[in-house]
Amino acid sequence: MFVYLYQLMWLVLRILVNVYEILHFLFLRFQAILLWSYDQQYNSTTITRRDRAFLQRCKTELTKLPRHLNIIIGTDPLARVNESVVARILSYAQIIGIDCVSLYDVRSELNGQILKENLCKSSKSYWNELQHNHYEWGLDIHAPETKDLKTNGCMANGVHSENGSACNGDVYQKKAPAYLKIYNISGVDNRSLIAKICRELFQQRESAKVQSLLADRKQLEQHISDELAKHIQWSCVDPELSIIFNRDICTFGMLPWQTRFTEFHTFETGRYVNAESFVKLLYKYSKCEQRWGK
Amino acid sequence: MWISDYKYKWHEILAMKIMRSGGYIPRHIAFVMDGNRRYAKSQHLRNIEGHSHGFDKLSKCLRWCLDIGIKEVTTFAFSIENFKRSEEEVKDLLDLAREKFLNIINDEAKLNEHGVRILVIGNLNLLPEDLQKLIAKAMTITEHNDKLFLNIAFSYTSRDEMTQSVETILKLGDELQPEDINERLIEECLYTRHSPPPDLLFRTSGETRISDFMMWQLSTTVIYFTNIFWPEITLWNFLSGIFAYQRASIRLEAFKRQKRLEHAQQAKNCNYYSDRVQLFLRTVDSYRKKVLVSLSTSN
Repeated sequence: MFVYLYQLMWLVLRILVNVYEILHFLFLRFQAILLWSYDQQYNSTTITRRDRAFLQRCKTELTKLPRHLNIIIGTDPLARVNESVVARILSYAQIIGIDCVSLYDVRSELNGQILKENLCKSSKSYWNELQHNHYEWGLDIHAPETKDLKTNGCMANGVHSENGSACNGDVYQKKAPAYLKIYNISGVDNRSLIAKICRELFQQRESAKVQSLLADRKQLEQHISDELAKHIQWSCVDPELSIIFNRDICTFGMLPWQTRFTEFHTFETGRYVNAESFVKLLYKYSKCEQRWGK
Repeated sequence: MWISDYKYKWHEILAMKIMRSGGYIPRHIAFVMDGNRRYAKSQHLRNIEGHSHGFDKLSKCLRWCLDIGIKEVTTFAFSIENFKRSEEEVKDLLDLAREKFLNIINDEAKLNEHGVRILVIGNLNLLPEDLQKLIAKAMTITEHNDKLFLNIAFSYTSRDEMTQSVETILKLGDELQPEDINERLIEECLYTRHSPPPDLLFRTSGETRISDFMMWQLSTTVIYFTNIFWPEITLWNFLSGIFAYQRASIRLEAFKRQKRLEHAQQAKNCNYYSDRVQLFLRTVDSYRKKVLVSLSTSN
């Protein structure tokens, strides 16, 4: 008898919390619609300029910035994100000066997994596949073709260094724009990659190299780290901040070796993804103190 | 005392009963007991007193876990990275550990009465020899208990654990074939070989990282961060974590089911049930047992 009463009380508690959560979600979606319709008044250039100014201002207040930002998209249907949201985050990351972004989408293609092709289309930006699952991304650079010094005749008249074209040419052609590195993390990069490295070591276990690694666990640990980096082809540090799009915090098994000191934050479900909400997470990251065991 | 004689107030008993009746009680919970030093600082105490208060809270937590129906608890007591702390603090922490493991040996009857089995996970070779012996003895005398499994991560990091697992395969896997090695086999060589992965990770003090704790095992774990310092944790904080888990586990059910299927598939793919893999795993178990027995019986 009492058991049923306790179960009823638990159910009531769960319903109350769910109702609060739904109301909060609806409030955030309503707020999101307002912010989105406000943004519709402006063209994309104005919005980019506004976001750039805002992010640069915030950057001066941040005590630290992650060099490697990770995004985890979980299975929660309420926290669904599409390509345009990811593209927006990439643009904020590039503006604020983050070096690389890794993306781990747990969902299947049928359930809306972010596809590279759609992301390219949606972001309308420079996008280059360097190798498998490893891309270079940049905000659209409107480099007019007429700035080509050799074709516009400036070289011939000998005034190219004074007429401004050379200056523009320097900006557009000689100075490499800072591209964002993007890694698409898949299931094979997680625990199974450690197993793969173990298998490789096992195949050469009689060799002097492996025997020397077995004599010192620290060396073996370093070897696994190096091999993992080589396989994934990281050219930046391990993830420092991870934004999880899911109501509950879960790593979903992502990179168990590389995320030991990663700060995990969930993106509030329902909130509009704009420069302000993105920076809010960077402020949280900026406030955290890493003690490295000390 | 490892399991506190916590006296519940009537409303706490009611809350415990309500939570229990909701189902979805984690089978295995992991605690990152963070904030002892900051608590000590806020109370103008010495660091070691903060750790001592932290231990008292652990014994209360173990009592709550037992009473709510949690079968397995893993606590992060001391990281390999903590050896970087000042010499004095490391010495104090190791002394505190000596005292507590000695208590286990002296309170053997009480622990057996509660059915608590102690397992210390970590790189014990990095610890002083006398402490290694105490730990081995504490593990040996409680190994037949099965009501509450208490895993204490001491001199532990997850990277070290994963490396140890690879090392075990390379050193003891003479009979293995390369195709036998996959993530399932690595998992079977971790310190937590006989434990299910944690269902809930509970971290105090407002930090939002995992700090190299059970990284391999956390793929479906619900992580709960709370701002309170560990020595200040109350039954209500504990129950909040449980309630968060109950709600999350309903939402993550499909993902967990999918992972369980993958896990079973991996066992098939790596000949897990073959004689040679099973023989290898028995060798690993007997090797570990031998080390433990020799440590606990040495003078």
